[in-house]
Amino acid sequence: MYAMAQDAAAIAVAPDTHGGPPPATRDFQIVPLKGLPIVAAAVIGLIVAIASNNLWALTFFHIVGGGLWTGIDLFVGLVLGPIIGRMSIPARVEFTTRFMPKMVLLMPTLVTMTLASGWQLARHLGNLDPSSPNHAWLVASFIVVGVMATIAIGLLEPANLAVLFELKKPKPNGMRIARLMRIFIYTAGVTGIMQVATLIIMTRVSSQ
Amino acid sequence: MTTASAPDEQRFPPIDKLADLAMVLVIIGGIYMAANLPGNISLVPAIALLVLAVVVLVVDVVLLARLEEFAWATFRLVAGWALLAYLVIAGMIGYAFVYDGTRGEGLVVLVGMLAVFAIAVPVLLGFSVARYQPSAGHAAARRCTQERESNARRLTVMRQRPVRDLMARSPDWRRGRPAGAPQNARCGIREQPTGRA
Repeated sequence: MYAMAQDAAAIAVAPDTHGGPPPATRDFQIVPLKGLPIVAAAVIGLIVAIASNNLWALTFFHIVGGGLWTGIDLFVGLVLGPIIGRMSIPARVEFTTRFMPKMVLLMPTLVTMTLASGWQLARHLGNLDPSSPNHAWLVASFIVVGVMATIAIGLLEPANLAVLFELKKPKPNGMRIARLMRIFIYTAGVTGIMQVATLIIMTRVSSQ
Repeated sequence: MTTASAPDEQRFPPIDKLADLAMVLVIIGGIYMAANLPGNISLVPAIALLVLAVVVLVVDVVLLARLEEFAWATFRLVAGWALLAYLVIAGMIGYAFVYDGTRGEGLVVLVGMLAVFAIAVPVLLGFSVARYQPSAGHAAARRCTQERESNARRLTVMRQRPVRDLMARSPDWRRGRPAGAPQNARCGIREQPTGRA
């Protein structure tokens, strides 16, 4: 996410400092409609898993959702970010307009899958009981998720949407995009720490 | 009381920060509830947080409703779809609690928190996008400016052509308006293209 911020900052400054022609209006969907059936299928599957209280289904949704959520977050921040940071400005614009709309659909779906199935799984396994040895770890995970939700929904998602809408304008305001994307830099450290904490807590819970 | 913004940008009340605050309050309340379910717990802290969140959200919505120069169409577009999405998410969470046998006052408090969450987030997302979009008034003013500039350019070009040719083709030229130029009363373009907006 750090590099995504650098990327957008560079996109933004380019037209102003180099005085080139304004970029053409980008034709892209902020919410990719083709992905909605997949999201709907995931949500329906999740409802069925909770309603049936099937241990395998709940574990599947929690492990798959959580693994992808943590993996994508860390991969984008640590691997993809530095690569994008070294790309040319038009390539960064191209990448951002193709990548970020997919994240708009993907991440909320993964988060919903992970949290809903995780709650039900904890209930099913008795980990929510205050007498359970895992209870304190679960409360810690609630706090971690609360911090991540606040950052993701309160800061990152609004900034992401605002940037995408700005990029659709005939003349995107570069300074504005740079300013919005600074949020990603400020929150990248906290998000990374929270994701690592999640890995520690979840591996601990599953091993006792 | 306004949020920080660049000098060239419109200043707004702290609508995004209040929506954030309402969301954080219900998240804290939700963690408190989730950490203590299914046992018998005191609901006082959760109710206090919920009441505070509702007050903050009401103030937020009032501040939002009082905005005049604002891209309401964009706000409705983003907030509408976000509301749909977050109703599904809040519904999923509520469903899990009901399914697990949460009842009575605890369920009421949880549903209240989910309702605040499902409203605060769309308000936040809609505002965060719409604040950077031109409002209807700004868009009309920009169109008028572009129209006036276009007319002025066309007039300059036409005045450089032979007068007889122009007079034959366009009686409008004598009135200072290029042939075919739109006569937009809302933009103040009547007889003179450089007229008052």
